[in-house]
Amino acid sequence: MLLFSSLGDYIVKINKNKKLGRSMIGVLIIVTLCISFLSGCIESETGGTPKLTQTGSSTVLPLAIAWAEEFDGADISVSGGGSSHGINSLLNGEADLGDASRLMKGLDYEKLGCNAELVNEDGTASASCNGILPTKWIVAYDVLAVVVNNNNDFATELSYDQLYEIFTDDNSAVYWDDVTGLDNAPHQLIEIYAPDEASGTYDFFFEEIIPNWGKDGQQADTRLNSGDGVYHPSADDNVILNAVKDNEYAIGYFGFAYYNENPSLLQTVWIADEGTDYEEPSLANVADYPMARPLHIYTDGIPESGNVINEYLKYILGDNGQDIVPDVGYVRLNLVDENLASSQLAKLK
Amino acid sequence: MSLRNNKKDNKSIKIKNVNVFYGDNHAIKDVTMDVKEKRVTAFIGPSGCGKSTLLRCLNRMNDEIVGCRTEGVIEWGGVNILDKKVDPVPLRRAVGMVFQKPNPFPKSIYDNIAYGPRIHGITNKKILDNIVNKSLKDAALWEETGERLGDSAMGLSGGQQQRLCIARSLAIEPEVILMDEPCSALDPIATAKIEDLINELKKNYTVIIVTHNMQQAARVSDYTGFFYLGKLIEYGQTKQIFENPKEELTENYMTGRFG
Amino acid sequence: MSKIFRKFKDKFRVDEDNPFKSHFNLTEKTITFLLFCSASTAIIISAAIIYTLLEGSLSFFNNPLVNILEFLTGSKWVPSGSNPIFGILPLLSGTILIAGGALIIATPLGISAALFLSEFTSVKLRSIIKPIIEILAGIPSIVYGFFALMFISTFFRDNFGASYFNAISAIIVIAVMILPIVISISDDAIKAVPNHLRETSLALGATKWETSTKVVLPAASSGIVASVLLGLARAIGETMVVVLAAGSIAKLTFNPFDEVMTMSAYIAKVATGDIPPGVAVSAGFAVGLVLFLMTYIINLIASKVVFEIKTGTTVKSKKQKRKKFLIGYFSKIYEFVLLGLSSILNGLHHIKNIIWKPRSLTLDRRYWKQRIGVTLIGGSIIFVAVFLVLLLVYLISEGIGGLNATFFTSYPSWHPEKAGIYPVIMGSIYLMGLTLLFSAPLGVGAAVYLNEFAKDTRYTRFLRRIIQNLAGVPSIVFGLMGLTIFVRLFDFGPSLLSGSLILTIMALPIIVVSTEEAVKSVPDSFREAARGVGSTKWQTVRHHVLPSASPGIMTGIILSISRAIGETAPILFIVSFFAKTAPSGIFDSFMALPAQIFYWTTQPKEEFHTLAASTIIVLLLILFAMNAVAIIIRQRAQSRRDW
Repeated sequence: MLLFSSLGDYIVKINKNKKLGRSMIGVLIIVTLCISFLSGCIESETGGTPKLTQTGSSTVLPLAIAWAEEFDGADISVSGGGSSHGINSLLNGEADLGDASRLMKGLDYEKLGCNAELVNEDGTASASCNGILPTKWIVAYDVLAVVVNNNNDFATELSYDQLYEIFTDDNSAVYWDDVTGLDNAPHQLIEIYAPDEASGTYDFFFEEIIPNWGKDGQQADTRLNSGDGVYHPSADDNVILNAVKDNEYAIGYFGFAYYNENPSLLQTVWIADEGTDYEEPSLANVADYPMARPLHIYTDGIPESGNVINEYLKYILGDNGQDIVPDVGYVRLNLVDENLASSQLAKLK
Repeated sequence: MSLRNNKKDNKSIKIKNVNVFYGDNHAIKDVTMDVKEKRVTAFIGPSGCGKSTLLRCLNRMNDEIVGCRTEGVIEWGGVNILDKKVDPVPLRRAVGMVFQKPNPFPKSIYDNIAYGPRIHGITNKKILDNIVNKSLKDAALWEETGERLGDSAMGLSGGQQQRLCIARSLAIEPEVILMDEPCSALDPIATAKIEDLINELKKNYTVIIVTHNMQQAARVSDYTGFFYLGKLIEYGQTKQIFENPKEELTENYMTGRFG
Repeated sequence: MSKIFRKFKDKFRVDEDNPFKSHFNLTEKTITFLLFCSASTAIIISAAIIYTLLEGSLSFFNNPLVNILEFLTGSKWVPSGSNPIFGILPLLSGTILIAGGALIIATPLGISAALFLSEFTSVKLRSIIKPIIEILAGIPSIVYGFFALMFISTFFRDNFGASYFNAISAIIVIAVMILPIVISISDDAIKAVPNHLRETSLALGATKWETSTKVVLPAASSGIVASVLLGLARAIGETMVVVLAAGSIAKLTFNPFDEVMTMSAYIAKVATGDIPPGVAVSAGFAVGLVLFLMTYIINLIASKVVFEIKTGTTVKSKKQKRKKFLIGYFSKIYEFVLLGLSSILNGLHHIKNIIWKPRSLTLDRRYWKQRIGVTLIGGSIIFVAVFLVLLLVYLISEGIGGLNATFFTSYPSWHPEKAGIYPVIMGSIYLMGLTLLFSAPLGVGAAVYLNEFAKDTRYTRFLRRIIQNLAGVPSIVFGLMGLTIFVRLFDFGPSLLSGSLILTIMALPIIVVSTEEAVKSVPDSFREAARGVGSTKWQTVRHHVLPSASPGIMTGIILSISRAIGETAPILFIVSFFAKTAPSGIFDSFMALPAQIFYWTTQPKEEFHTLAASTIIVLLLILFAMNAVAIIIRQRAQSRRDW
């Protein structure tokens, strides 16, 4: 009831200022009292449960919401805003948990005036920034699915090299039959519908197919940045899905979870990295499938035993939390690496 | 090309038993009078006695007021102009009106005067030019404005604006000109000019002027009707009304017993 | 030494020689000071906005990758990647395409509707139509965005082969959004034309239609142009509709069936934190600066005219115009625009006359013209009504199924069948309450100060102009400012406090303007009577002015809060999308109805779209209730008014 005591104080303090008739204030007080009374009646459980804030990646968001809902030990408020926002909020002290579908980078430290060198290649930090030491937890895996129209019979298997020709600005293929090795392809324009550059999925996809992505010596730029209009970016997976569904010569990519909602609407493309076989994206296949990426939550240091964040992380990494992961459409940790969950849980003892 | 139609002889305006109601307020009580053609008739009387209301009956302007009801007959040229079947739009071309406050349109002098003729279908520039020139001359405004017809009418002085309004009414070649206290917003010099104008106008037009200035009525009109609280008290030749009023009420008003 | 002391004592001693000596009235002085502060917050707010935009823009232009000339004239906008290019023209073309398209539709419709409403309807019909238009005005942009994406866009995709995101769906919907602005201000302008001009025209034998089109409309033209300009400014700043429906590809194109990105959409992208930190983010501030300047200039020109119409004051002497060079400069441009427009219209008319030899204009033909004309402009009202019906029917059909008990009592679960909006409603209510608490005293105080206490100095005129200009700032710019200042600088974090402070700032100008109107309408004779019996200014205000003005004040407050509560863009990145409970303190994070609608609209599963539609219905009901209360207060006040 902090809200209402502060409201009350405020009303008294500004009474000098307030020009409206007392009736207005009276009505306001009565209304808010009624509402607080009613809310007390309806709210069953949470009276005195600790509160947490979790924010960040929109890829992790549905998972975060599911976990926040099923976890009993705290009242967790979840928002989006992107991986950058998640890490930033953690470093600013605005959030308890920062969701990221990418690794933390030097730029994240730099934005707050800390030394970029302190961030390691693997997304961990060697020293704190702003008094916060971001600690990385891998909580699930996301499988990235490349999708094409159901009537597409010519591009159902693509190698990284072929993806390179389609998706980057380096000698981009304009027609489907321009792509090396797609001999049966029709002479039709390629249309790409895929995430925009703000998305972690975008980042991950191009990290896979463009050598030296994000560093000096990056080999090529993305098709989006070529400016030829072939790559239609969207922040909305729904858009991508509908576009590829309706366009025979379209190709796109997004998280497998999304495909799995409506698997009959599109086809997935079997992907082969250099020197490997073509693999189908699926939840079971994730150990072999080349385009599988980890999803992270960052916290401030390793929370101590007894701390509610510690409990939450234990829940997420434990069986209960991991059981939900496939329901949301992502991949549980033990499908990728048996020890991944337990090794992280060990840190939480 | 004359705009006049139905030119008949003897077009006096016969007002017969006219009553006007604003809601429950009985504003004009059973007025009967005969307004002579090509003469100046003045309606005088104290404030609120209904002179303007009666004037507005003559061009059906009261139709625009919600809740106003008119009964009776006003016969002109063989037609009862109060009849519902009579369309006020063509009527108002034949019966023009000048209002109390000068109200030129926010347009040029030329466009102000050309507005009426254009509405009624004249688009030939030469003809419009002629009409504008003639109207300005008839309204004694040509000397002052002939060179600057394209200027905004809002830049004229009060007196000039009023003469512009008169010119504007003349441009559609009416037969009757109604004037509702045309000089009350003007200074004495402008007033004098307008009064001279009225004297000229009566050669060709029937003029009815409402005024609360008795002396003006005496100067300008041939016939005068004195109204009080909605009733026509006395009507006759101006000379007679002023020098030899028949009714006591009239005499009291003339001598200033009430105002 | 004692002399000084005695002087000091003298000040407070009752002087026997002068019974009328003025005393130091602490209450009066304090109140005046507090009111002065309220008014001056407008300056602080404006300064904050400018600071936010300038700081970001400067860091943008200082970046070695960025060239200001290229920024202003470049035709490629590629903000990230290894070779970013920052040419604003694609964003500008997106904005112009959508705002311009909306204007092309809304201008003739709006002017026709205004003309019809003010000249050709009976009082009864007007009292039915006016509320319909006010309802349209009260619908939040997120609802329009939902409708644009789900319904209108589908139509164009199916029948015109438009791309998934397209400009045309945004254009149509934004046109309807700005209609109420054009209609209501044009209506005011038309009503302000003095009646004697109409009378004169009728007395010359013109028909009602001729009077309306040849005399009234031209006389109201400056007000009408102002209304169109204000509509334009609103369209330029619109964010949520374009984010949901128009897309995110920056393309230099004027094809309405294409996907485009507007300036406001890019800023939204930056504000939602999705773009990797660096130059692309500061580019958002630079774009924000451009957007702000554009809307500022348009509003500056238009508001002056609107203010003059509403308050019946005429333009102050030409002297004042010449004094402020910039203002005079823009007024001159405005005059030229009007002149240009009228000469274009005249020219067109001449051309038409040459092509079609005008047949003689008989009375019959004139009446036919009237009939056709009135029918045509009446048609605009029908279009508006049809759109509204379509919108409501669509929303209800989509969302009414979801309105069950679970929906109102549970939290937004990730299982759609269990999801509900109870904490979301509470979040919105708390937001509303806090915003009310902050904005009402500030806004009313500022208006009272400006009208009752302040002398007409340069400073007060400046203040008033600043407040009016705040009303035209796009909501996304407020969002940027709120994020920078409240969330980061003041460290309030993404809390109810930050959210309500941002909404307060948005509601403020509306409250000030409507309070001013209400206070101005109290006749001066009341004040004179009060002062005449010896009341101080504050006593006069408190006991005489405010009670008489209070219905108008309350109406204004209710309407501005209801507008604030439907806003999505400024709180989008502060709000949460999931929590089990309602917030319990002002530093808590919160959820809000419009943001939840946005989140669910962008979810894949159809069930979430249904939830979004149901939430829209709830939001609309709340807004409808608030507006109804405001209208009732206003009606009762009008009928009880005996002056």
